[in-house]
Parts: sequence; C-alpha cells; structure tokens
Amino acid sequence: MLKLGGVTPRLYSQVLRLAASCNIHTTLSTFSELKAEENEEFRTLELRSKKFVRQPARVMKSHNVVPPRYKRQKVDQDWGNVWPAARTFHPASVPLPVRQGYPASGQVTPDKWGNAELMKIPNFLHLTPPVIKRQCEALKKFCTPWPSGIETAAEQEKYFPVMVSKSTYLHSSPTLRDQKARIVTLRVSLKSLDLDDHGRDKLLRLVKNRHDPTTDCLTIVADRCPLSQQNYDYCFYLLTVLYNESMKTEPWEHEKEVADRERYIWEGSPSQAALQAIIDSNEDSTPEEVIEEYKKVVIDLHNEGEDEPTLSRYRDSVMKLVGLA
Amino acid sequence: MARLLSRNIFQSFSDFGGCSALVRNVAVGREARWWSNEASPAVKVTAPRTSLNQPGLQTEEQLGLWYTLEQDIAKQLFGLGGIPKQFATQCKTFAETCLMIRKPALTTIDYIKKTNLALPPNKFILYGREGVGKSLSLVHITHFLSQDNWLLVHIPWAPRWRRGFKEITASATVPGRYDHPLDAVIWLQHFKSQNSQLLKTLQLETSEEYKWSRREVTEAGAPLIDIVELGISRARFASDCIMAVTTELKKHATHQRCKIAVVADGINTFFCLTSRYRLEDLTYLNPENFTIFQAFMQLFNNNWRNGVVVASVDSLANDGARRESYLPRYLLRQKGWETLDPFIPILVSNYNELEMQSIVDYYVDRNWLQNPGASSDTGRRELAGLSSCNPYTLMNICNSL
Repeated sequence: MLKLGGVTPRLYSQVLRLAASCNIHTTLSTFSELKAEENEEFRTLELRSKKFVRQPARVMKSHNVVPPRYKRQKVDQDWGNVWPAARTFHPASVPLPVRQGYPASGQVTPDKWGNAELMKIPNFLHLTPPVIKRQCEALKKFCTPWPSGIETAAEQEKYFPVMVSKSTYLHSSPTLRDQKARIVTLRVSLKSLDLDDHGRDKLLRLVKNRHDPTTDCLTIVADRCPLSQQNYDYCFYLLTVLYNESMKTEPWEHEKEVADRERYIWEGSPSQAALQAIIDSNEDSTPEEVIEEYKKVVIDLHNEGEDEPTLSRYRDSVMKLVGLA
Repeated sequence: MARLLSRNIFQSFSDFGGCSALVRNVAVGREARWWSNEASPAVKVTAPRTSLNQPGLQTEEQLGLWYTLEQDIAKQLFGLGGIPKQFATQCKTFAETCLMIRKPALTTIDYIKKTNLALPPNKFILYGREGVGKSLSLVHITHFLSQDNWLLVHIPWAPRWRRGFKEITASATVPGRYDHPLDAVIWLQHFKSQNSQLLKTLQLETSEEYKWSRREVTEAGAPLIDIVELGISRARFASDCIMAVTTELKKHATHQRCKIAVVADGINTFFCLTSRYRLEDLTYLNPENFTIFQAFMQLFNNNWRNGVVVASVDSLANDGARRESYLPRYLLRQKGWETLDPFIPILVSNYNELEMQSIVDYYVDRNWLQNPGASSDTGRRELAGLSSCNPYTLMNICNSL
C-alpha cells in the first residue's frame, strides 16, 4: 500500500465511517483510490499534496443592537420616572458624558461605559431637586404646622437649648436592626448654662475636647448602652453631673498654681512688679493711660498668643513706658 | 548668626543644570557677548560704601551701605569671640571687615542714644528667623557702644557655655554651684581686651575685700583690673572673679561712676532647663547652677541703673525641643519673661530689595561672585529666589559660586 501524504485526519475518519456503515472491509487506501472505487475511474496518482483549501471565514451573526436608552430620551423628560429609586449607575440610561477614574499614562479619564468606579460609588440620581421637591410636596399633607413663637434660630436656642440627635436604620436583610441606632448625641451651647468663671473653667477641664471653642458648644456622645433610650438617659445624666460638679468648689482647688492657670492674670505677676520698679524710679510721673495700656498689652500677649501684631503693640507700649516713643 | 547648613540648597543648586544663568559658563559666555553687543559696555560694579566708620554718626541715609570696621578695632573688640566664624573667614578672604548698615541696628543705636539712664536698664531684644543677621547687628551695636564709651560686658555666644563648654568643675566656694575654669579665663581676657582703655581712665575700685585662698586676697579699694588679671592667671578662681566683677560693676553703675552695656548673643540660653553636664546621679545639670550664668543673670535684673542690655534671642540657642517659633516670648520661656520683662523686641528680617542689591554689589566688588551673570538682573533675581533673601543662605550659596 502506498503511503502518500495528503490524507487529512477528517478524511480518514470519513473513510472509516463510510466503510463501517457499508460493512465493507477496506484496507486504508488513498483518496484517489477511494474515488476510483466510487466512480470506477482510472485512479489518478497524486504525487503532490493538494493545496490547502481555504474554508470560508466564519460569518459572525450580526445581532440587531438596540441603541442605548439615552439616545431615545427627550430633553424635557421627567427624570424622576427614569430613575425612581437608588440604583447602581447604568451608563446607557444616564444622558451625561460622565468620566471617572485615574487615567492610564497617555490616556484620558475613563468614560462611563463599563466604568467599575462609577458603579461602585453611590450616586444620587434618584434625588434630583425636582424629585425632592415632589416628595416634599407629597409628605406635606402628613405634617403639622411649625409651632409659633420659635421661628428664628435665636428663639429656638432660647427655648430649646439642648439638641439631641440619633439615627434610625432599616435593613432589608435577615435582620432589620442596626447597632448604630443606639448612638445618641447631645449638643448644648454653654451660653445656656448659667456658669460663672470658675464653673466654666472647671467644666471645660472636665469635658476636654468635647467642647468646640469656635461655636462654644458642648457635645456629648453616648453609645455604651445597648438601647438608645438608655443612652439618651445617660446623656442627660452626664449633663446634670457636669453642671453640678462645675458649680461646686472642692477644698483642694485653692492649690491651683500659676502654671495651672488657663489664662494670664496680671495681678501679682512679676510683670506688675517690674512695672512698679520703673514707675518708682521715674522722676516724672508715668501717665495712667500708659500703665493701663502696658497692662492690657501684656495680658493680650499671653492670652491671645504671641504673633507680630501683639508683639508690636507690646513694643510700642514699652517704648512709651521707658520714654523712648 | 545661625549655624545651620542648608545642604538642600546646595543640592538643588547643583541640579540646576543649564537653566541657571550662573552655572553654565558656555551659555553665559554667549549671553555675555550678546549683552555686550546690545547694551553699553559692562559697567564695573562697586560695593556701595560709606566712609562714615563711626556707628554713632550713621543715619538712615546710609542704609544699605557698607562701612569698614578697622582691623585693630575688630581684633580688640572681637578677638576672642563676637563675630560669627563663617563671617570671620569671609572677612579674612576679603581682607577687610565690612558690615552692612541695616535698619534694626540703626534703630537700636538710636534708642540707646535716647535712653533715660535713671530708669532700670532698657532691654533691647533682637529677634528673627535663623540666619537673618541678628549676631552681626549685635556686632554693629557693640562697635557703637565701645565708641560711645560704654563699659562692655559682652557675651559672644552664650550657648557655648551651656552646650560646648571646655570643662566644668564643682565650685570650691559655694556648694551646689559649678564653675567653668577655662571658659571664664577666656571671657576675662575678652573683657580686658574690650575695656582696657576705659578701665584705665575710669579707675574703678573694688568695694569689698575678696579672699580667694589663704594667700590670695584682693583688698577693698584695689583697682578692678586686679580681679580681672587674677582671674586670667588663676583659672581656678576665674568664675568667681567674673561673679565679683559683675557685682562690682553693677554697684559702680548704680552709683553713676560708669555706664554699662550688657551685650548677649543667644540670651534665651540662660533660661533653658538642661545643660550638657552630667552629674554623678546621671541627671543633666540645670544651667542656673553655673557660676558664670548666675553672674550675668544678676545684670538682667531691674535693680541697677545707668545701664542697657542688648541681646538676641535665637531659636538655635535653645534646646532642640523648644525651637518651633522664633518669637521672643516663646523662646524665653516663663522664667526668661519674668526676668527680662519689660523689654523692647526689635525684629530683624531678611534682606529687602535695597539690601539685596547692596550685598550682590559687594560680593561682585570683592570678586567673590566672578560670573558676569551674577550682577545681571536675571542673576540677581535668581540669587534672591534661591536664598529667599535670607542673608545666611545667600552667603552659603555664593560660597560655592
């Protein structure tokens, strides 16, 4: 049997199948022999392998793609109907050419198509101002009118100085609850508490960084109890205790030293003694206003902090004092 | 004068490469040729000098000009300290000691002239950032004070006694006090060299007897210079001699026999809490226990007359933990404030435009900046930008050019 090249495996299997189905015992023969057997022609001898017959390219089925939704949206559409609830970002529905993310080198910022970063972050497309307005309008019928007499912020502060806030959470998971709902925050302005100097100083030392000097507000956060009601009671308990302790004066408080003072006090300070020495050695009497100015300037230098303005005021005052100005 | 080395500036300057008008010689050569074609032939840049070498006669019209401190006066006044080391080497290179006349020094001199000596001593405290010119302003003021016949009690750089002392021994006379034998000798020599002429004319005498040892006694009524010379010859007693000298000078000044000027560079070091000296129990000694510190601190009080205190507060004079700000109240701490209040703080700031012009002209005149691009407008702006008009930084930059 001549063994020639050109017999492809496919052909081989076809032959065998054919042979098997026909129940004919065949020895392996070449393609030409097979053809000859079929057609009963003179067998052609093919010395060279047949050229590779190029199969036609696989034609991809073109699907009818629907254009993205935003192309069909009208300009004056009601956006609240397009995006009624919180939803992961969907680029085809949003008519905005949004870009998000750090660009690869030499590239522009990635666009919205398949942008994982845009999809990960929360978007507020369901809460555009017109939608919010609509929701507020819908809620209005369930509201009672705002009580009279507390329209302005000053009146609110006067009648309701304490502000308590807490958050509630609702989950649609196997548990409805959220642990964070137990946190209660109490906020009160120190102006509403009638504290004298000593009381205020003592309270500030007790609360430390819970007091905000810019707004003069004390903020107490309680989360140590499991229920928010318990935390609420605890907040008010703390406020009561703080106030009462600040009003009291303990017997050991008289041991407060110069280094413990929260602000500079002129009376009894070495600066006062030095000033006195200068006044005494001055043959012409030092004017009252120069002394008062010096006192004020030294107090400011310490209480307000040292910087160029306070320092230059100090300089001018000392020059007047020693007669150089 | 600040001691910090701004290595970063060196680094950035050497990285400048071709864009600098000063570094690339080739580029500058081309530019120089272009300038000489375009502009008028190069004008020789000279330092703006003044012949008024007496600080007492200098006025605001001489601001920004350079005056010469004669070699012999410089040696007499600052031979043993006072002029910052780097500036001293620069002066040696230039073969002259010239100082720029700047506002803070002139203001202080003006105030000193107008001081009411019947009041407790006026305290002028120079403050400013590092490298801004406080020490050199003090040099200028010290020159004025010595010309104006003030007896100088000059402390060149106080932190050297707290941090870089040569030797510390326990005091033989007072338990709990500590002496600086060698440093005290150097200071007494410095005091003698500065005030020798004045001490001869004033003929100050001791008011009480000082017994140094079984054999060495200084009687009451002896000339003050004797104590100084004893201290110089006997290092063991030098610190106590300083104590005696300062006490005597205070009494003399109060009785109007002389006027005393205390000049201290880095006065805030007197009020630091630790020194570098370790005791037997391994704690660091508080510098208030140093004899010489106590000696000079009594001159910072208010209980004497006929004197003036001119000092500088420097953040580098403090220990490393207390260097955040350059403002005097912060650097002096509670104790320093209580001692020195009321004082007159005088700000020393970076060079302004006039002074920048002046310093670059001076360097070009002294052939320190030899690159023709240095005196050009671009070069000047580049120097101003690199140093941000800080005198010390500018000096360091120009050193490498």
